[in-house]
Amino acid sequence: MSKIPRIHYYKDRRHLINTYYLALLPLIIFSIYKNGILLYTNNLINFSHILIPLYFYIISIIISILISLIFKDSFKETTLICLISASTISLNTNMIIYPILLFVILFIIKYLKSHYKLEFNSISIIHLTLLLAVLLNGYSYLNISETLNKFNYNLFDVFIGHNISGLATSSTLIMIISLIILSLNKFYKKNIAYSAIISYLIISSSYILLTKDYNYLNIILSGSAYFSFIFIAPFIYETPITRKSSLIYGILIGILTSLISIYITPIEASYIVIFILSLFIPILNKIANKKYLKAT
Amino acid sequence: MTKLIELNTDSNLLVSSKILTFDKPDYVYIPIKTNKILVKQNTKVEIGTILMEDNNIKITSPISGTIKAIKKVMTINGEENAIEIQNDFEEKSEKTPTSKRNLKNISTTKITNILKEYQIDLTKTSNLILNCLDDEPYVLTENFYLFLYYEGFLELLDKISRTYNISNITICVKSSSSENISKIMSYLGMYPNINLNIIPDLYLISKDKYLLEHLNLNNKDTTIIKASTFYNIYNLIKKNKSNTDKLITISGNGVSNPSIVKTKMGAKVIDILNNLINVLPNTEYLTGLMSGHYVDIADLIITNDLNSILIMKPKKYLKTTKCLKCGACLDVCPVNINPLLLSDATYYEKVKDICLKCGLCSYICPAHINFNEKGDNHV
Repeated sequence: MSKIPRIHYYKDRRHLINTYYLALLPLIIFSIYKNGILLYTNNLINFSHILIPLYFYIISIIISILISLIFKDSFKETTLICLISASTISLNTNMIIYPILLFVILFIIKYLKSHYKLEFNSISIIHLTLLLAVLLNGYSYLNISETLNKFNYNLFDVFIGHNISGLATSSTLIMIISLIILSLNKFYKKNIAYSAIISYLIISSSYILLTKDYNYLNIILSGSAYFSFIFIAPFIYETPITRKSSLIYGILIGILTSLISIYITPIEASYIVIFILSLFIPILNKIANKKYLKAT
Repeated sequence: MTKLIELNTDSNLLVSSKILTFDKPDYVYIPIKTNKILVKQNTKVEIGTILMEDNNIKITSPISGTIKAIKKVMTINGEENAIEIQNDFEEKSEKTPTSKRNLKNISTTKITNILKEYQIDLTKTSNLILNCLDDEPYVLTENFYLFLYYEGFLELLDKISRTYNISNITICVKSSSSENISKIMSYLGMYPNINLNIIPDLYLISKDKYLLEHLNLNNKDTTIIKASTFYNIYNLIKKNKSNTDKLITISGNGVSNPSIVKTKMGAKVIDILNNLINVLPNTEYLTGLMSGHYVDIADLIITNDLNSILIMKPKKYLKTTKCLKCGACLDVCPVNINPLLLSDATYYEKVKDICLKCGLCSYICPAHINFNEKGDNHV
């Protein structure tokens, strides 16, 4: 007489992954426009260069197929991880080293997670590893128009996505839409995203008010940090469980990201913070579990 | 206030409003609950003959016939010994049922004594709630007690209100039960002391604790009576008739005519299915889709606890994946336990009596984890 509910809530893990794809798609399209079509129509690149952003996405999908086959893992999920990672890289990433590095780091992560049950944020460490491929081409996130300073963009242009950032992490406006799409899914951990965004905005705005450094508005309005807050920090498995610990996790990510952005590096700040804090997730979960044990 | 949720159900699966009747079973089986059995093998019994007795509990025969033997049967709680009674179809009754007894002439003492049999004391009650709510999806048993007997229920509630001077009498029906709502609304003008409360279609809201929370009432001065219990009380007070029959919902996607069946207590479920219900081939039987469990219906009998049989086409369960750490199970748990910790033996021991086994954690889990199984591993 086994006991099991015969009905299930209409959404599950598959829906969440599909929602991630749906939220990511406009950003990917914009990245192809910004780093390919726009440059081509302004005669800054030749036609073949339009395909560079596409190359990174397609090669990421191929790598994810390989890894899924090796580990007999969900293809959709691995592809999502690879596409989010590809969205964060620079257009100047070395195109030969990129697939090798992506394969190796993904293989190591999958191996560590399946054999040693280690918990850490995969996408942030993939991004940090892929930095090696950016460094080989001279560390830069500028596309050709940004290098030539061809366009004179105002703050609104920066907000809609014309700023220096990773492939698909530039448009804050589209990311707001992505956040709305993701928030409609019950299983998306919006607590983390919202708390990180709010705490990041508070600290960064306070910095501007205190220092009168209004150029820093460009950083606040550009999307790099928000992309991490929306897509990477709340990513499916590597988060705290309870609402309270998720809030603490999100707030810490926001605060530390804004501090590292101000004093060290604005583009990589969120990835560094998310990776380091994700190492403490098992501790946060243990504390939450202990509270449950005591409460009963 | 506990946050309850509405379940995601198939709106095409409707239970017919036509009641099917199965009141002439060849045999009935009455589970032995006490040590004091008052009847012997091959003796004749009538409807209402006391079969067993223990303190205040009197278990009576639902049919007239002959005591045959003690047999093992299946109830919702597992295997039990039961008295087998062979039906003589004469419908003889020990008490003479009175069909048109005027409630005005029934004494307070009689009503109090009958209520006492059901452990109900209305002397200190300010609020009386008639609970006509069903929690399990596709089950409408309590709802149909009101649907069938609303006139009598209203009359008795009115009598109780006057007898015990109860200021607030409320009938609770679910918002999805439009037929009951319109029926009761049309009668409320005649009973100004009775209110109708339309309750949202939330899972678990029929439980006393959550219903009280929803109605903002205090447990101390409120009495909640289930419609099925009220039906038995009504029969005893108004018709002087013993508790012999019962409504049961038989529904699910494995039957072509989901229905409410009025049947005798102790009848075999398989007999009801063979006579009244068109069951599709290759189906599974459950007592409820959320908190119920699979049952073997071969020897299953109708008891007071059994409200429904859900007949379902076999379901392909989706593969359980790694926990997403979304915390949905924690958010949805009405008793605030952590289902993820149920695999921990110490934690399971602590919460096993608190857990309602309502199935909400498994229902909501995006990774399709069966949390009941986690707990069962310690048993």
